[in-house]
Amino acid sequence: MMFTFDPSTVGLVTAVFIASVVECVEAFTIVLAMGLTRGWKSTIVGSVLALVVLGLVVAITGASLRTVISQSLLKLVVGFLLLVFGLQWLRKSILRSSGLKTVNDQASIFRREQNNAREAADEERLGLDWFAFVVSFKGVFLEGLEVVFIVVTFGLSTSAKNHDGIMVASMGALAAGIVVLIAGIIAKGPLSSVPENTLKFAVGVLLCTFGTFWGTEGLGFFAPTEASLEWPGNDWALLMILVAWAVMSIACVNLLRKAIKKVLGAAGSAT
Amino acid sequence: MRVGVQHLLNRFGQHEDSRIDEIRKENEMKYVLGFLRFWYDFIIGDSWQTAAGVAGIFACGAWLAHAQILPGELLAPIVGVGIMSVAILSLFLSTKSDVK
Repeated sequence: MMFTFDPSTVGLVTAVFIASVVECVEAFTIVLAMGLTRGWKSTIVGSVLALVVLGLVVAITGASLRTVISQSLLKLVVGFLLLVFGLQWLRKSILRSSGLKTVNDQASIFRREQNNAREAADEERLGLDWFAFVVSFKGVFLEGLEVVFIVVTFGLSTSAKNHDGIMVASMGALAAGIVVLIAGIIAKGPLSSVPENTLKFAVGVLLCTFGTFWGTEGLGFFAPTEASLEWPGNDWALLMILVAWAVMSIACVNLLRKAIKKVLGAAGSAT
Repeated sequence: MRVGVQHLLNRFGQHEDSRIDEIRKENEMKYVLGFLRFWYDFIIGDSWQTAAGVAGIFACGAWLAHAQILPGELLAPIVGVGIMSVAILSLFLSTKSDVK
């Protein structure tokens, strides 16, 4: 396996690892609730099957996209998708930080899942508690799909420098999964103390950074030579873009907080 | 008489077959729309304005790259600033109603 340590590789591993921690925590909450309430056999089977399917999706998507389209077009498509996807994460975490949206509480999600599990009917198929199997499969699959999206997009975009970009990204995701699993076993409960919104904010900034960097490079597809555009300083421009996104996002949070205070203040004086 | 009954049964059978085909096509369309809806919600979510704004800036950047009006090393940062500006503007526009 060949990989080079440069800003984009470090960024790749960091972004994938942090995003995977966030999604693994959410998946762990669902799996823990099912396991403790409905039993572990069906829960583990559903979770493992979801992980196998996700692994196949990574392998098939990565292999097929790498060979089908040119590097510039791939960067453009991946950059656009990362930007739009990353802006979703960033927008929601900015809204949570400013108080316009409630912060996710893993403990209350855990209690809700447990209540649903207790109320669900007992149904057995293929020797499994079908409710526990389906909920665990869906939970791990849907949370994992976001990780897969990031692994494939990042991995493909760095494949010019890192021959096994997807493998490197997958290792980052796997490491995060192991860390969350160990933390969960030690905590023996949902991981409520994980600063989820802060991590989502960081991932949003990273996704937007790489989306901007690669998407812009990919515009070279429309140039007569079809060669990628180059940022001044090449990969080091990533740091400048990262700082720009971070500063602007923090400024947005502060501006929104001030706007809310102003609106609440005006509403209070009107009454 | 038997021919008439047979004819009626054939017509009824054909009607049933076409109805089954219609239901099958409706179900296939539901799956396709459901699949597309899933990916739309997954990638774009509830803020289509942001996605539209970014697409617009990329379109402008593509035109500038094709027309070769600016050198590549100047074009990249300009497009980058454009992307960030549009993204932040879309963010504030879509949260304006939330603040009110």
